[in-house]
Amino acid sequence: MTRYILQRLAISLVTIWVLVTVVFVLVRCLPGDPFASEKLTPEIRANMERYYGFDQPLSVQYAKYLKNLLRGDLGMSLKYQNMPINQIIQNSFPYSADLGIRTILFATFTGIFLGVVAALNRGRPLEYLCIFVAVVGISLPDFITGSLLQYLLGQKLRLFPVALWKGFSYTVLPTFALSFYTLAMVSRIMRTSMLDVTGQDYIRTARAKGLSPFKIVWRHQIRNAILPVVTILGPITAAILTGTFVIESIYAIPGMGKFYVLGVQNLDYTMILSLTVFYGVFLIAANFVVDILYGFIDPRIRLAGNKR
Amino acid sequence: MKAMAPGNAPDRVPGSPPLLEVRDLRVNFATYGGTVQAVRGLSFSMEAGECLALVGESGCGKSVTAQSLLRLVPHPPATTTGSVRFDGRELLDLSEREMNRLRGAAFGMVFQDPMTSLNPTMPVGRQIEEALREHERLSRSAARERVLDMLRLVGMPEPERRYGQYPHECSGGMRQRVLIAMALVCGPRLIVADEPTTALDVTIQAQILDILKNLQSRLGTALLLITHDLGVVAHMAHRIAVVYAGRIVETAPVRELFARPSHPYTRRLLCSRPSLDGEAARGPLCAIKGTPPDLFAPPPGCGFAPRCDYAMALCGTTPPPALGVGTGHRSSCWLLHPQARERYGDLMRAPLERR
Repeated sequence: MTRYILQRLAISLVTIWVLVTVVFVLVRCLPGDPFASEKLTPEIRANMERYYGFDQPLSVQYAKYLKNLLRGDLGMSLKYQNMPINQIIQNSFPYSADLGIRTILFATFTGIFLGVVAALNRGRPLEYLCIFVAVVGISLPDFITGSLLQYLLGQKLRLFPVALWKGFSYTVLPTFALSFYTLAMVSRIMRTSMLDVTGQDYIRTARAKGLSPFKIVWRHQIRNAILPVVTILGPITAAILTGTFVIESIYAIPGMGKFYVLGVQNLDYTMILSLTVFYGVFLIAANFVVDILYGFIDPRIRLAGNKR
Repeated sequence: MKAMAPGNAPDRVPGSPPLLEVRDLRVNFATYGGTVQAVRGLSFSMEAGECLALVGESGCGKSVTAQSLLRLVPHPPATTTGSVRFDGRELLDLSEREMNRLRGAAFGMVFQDPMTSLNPTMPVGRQIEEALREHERLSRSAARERVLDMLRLVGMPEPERRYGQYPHECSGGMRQRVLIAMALVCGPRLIVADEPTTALDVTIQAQILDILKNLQSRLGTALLLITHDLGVVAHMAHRIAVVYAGRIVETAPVRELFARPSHPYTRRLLCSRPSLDGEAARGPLCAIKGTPPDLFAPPPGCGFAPRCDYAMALCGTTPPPALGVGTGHRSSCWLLHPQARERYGDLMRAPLERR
């Protein structure tokens, strides 16, 4: 187990290094520069470039960035004055994480529930209702869901606040808007997987033992059917992450998404680079957790060396 | 421990009902292509402690019969009619809840494929324990003890260690032992074993059969053995029922059947079996020509008629009744009917028209 984690860690470091390098180069390939939008005299401009180290060769800048990164210093934003990116993350990430965790929990549990309900009501109206919800969820992009919910539940019915992030009632709409797609995916996968498990021999064995239908579904079917859902948790996390960019700006949530989007718009080199690294680390960690979780649910996939 | 010799079925107290009595069991499956008549009026009975073997080739309806005894065949697409009386109770009339009280407790089932019949995400000990605690109020530790005893009884090495292992950590033979332990753990009066050795290596097959045979005689459990392996049957059963096209064509005590098979199908079946006795004179193995009937449209008369060398016109129109031809020996063939010639003279003289 320890060996596996170390291996995994080494691979992750390489991945992050590749990510940093590629993004560093790509960002510099973009036309324009961070100071192009402002009307600056050549002197001030040269001053700024010297201040941020842009007058030095690219390789030196790259080495310097890597060195700082190793110390955990993500650099300074080029647009927000005197604002280290570490500070920006510290201030805004909790909001994004809060929204993300709510979404993942809500989406997976509701999705699994809908999938189970659909599978257990094969051929009945309830199944078609679940399938309908899933199709709608998969077809609607989150910015449509988001604005629609704001309009209907926020503006017309006035059930929930339209925007901002100041308490539980504020979280309902953005969480739902962000969850809808994932929830639909999960419910579809869960339904198929449940139907697949229903036909397995061990379900017949369970019936031959005289177990009640509830126990069969709960102990034997769901546990086995849930595996495919766990596999897609990694990609789901990635999808929700990108979803937060949109949802955060629709609902004016002070999360990290806004900084990322603005960073790209303004060609804020360090901001783009550092936030990408941060997201990268986050995703790698999420996938790692999913892998561990997978072995936990399915003993056959328990990782090497974990046997005894 | 005294193993019961095959051929001597335990005696029944006169007047008491048999442990299991199946009358005119019919199982149909509705499919897109039409209705499959998998079991077409099958009848047999079993005494307590007896081992009856249902023998037949693939697709003759023996597995469906086994599963419909426990009502494990899904409805729909299947419909089951007839009567299955267990210990005097009509199983086909019970509610699903009452049925669940009997499944696993009064009768257990051992399935064909131990590789897929165990839940891959649950330790094997827990799977056995689950069966036990469903039917008996026991503490976890007491249940665990019972399960360990059961594992020892089925010859599982290192039961304590095996208890917490998952199915993928056990070999095929081990898994089949687990399934047997699971079927036996509540002390059922009947075990239905559906081809319990088909998926196993030949060496393991013998072990598993020994375990089943020993436990069956030691615990006094009746065993309904479903198989296509005549070797298994000779080794284990008191009585044999030969199944063809969803019906029993011949039933007899094991020795009687091997010594004096009376139904043409049984004879061909025994003849198509290789012998180790060096009987070179018997010549090459014979095969039964043709294929089993299409159960979408089974023949109206005797199921075997289209493949039978002796088939008469009568065989193609009317199914033969079961006729007593010896002690406990019944056979369904018009050739054995004492009054058939007087009653159906012409139909017996004309050969069957074959398509």
